[in-house]
Amino acid sequence: MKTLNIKYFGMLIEKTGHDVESIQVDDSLSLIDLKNQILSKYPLLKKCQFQTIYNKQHISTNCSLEHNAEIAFLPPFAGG
Amino acid sequence: MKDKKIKNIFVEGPITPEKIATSIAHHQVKTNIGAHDIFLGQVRADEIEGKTVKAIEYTAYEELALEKCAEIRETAFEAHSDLTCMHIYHSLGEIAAGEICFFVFVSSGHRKAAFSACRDIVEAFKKEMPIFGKEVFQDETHQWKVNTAE
Repeated sequence: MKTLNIKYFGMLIEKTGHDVESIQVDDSLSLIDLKNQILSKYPLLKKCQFQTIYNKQHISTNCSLEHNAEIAFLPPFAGG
Repeated sequence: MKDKKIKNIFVEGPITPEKIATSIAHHQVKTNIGAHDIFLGQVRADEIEGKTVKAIEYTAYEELALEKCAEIRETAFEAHSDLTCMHIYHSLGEIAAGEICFFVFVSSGHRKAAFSACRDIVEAFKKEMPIFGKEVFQDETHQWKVNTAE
């Protein structure tokens, strides 16, 4: 098992009820597996537009996840 | 890419006119500067479906935002060799309509670099910075702001 640190921002906090959560997952879990797991846990996210950041890097494809990785889900930006 | 200098840009609450004035005053000793350009972002009291925005509450993925901002700074310095200095600030927390939430201040030897860099920085900032805005209406309901190309 490995630990992942998940962060949610903006409207995604309202949809999940969390800003951060630490979860234990199977060693073989990939980023896409994780996203699917999160979407089934929080079905309200299915209607949200968001991008995924893995250890502060934007990831648009799949990747493996290391122990203690930080995965952030970001809704559309509104700065400025 | 060489090591980027990470500077804090976040200010809790609105950016005051006094802070802007003080920033300008601090540049009077830098006599190689011939041009400043300033962009100020102000919270607009938009009317949406009969409700008026009274404030925007800003939050950010701060660690990532500071890295992104360092990249934006570095790109601007590489693109505009005449740039002398650059200051960028953005508010966090609730900012009332009419208050300033974003302050970009660039200085250069001559006007063209200042104009052009200021625009580049503002556009990149709005597109790339992980900052989130909750538009709070006068009746305390809210919606989430999304940046447009306007």
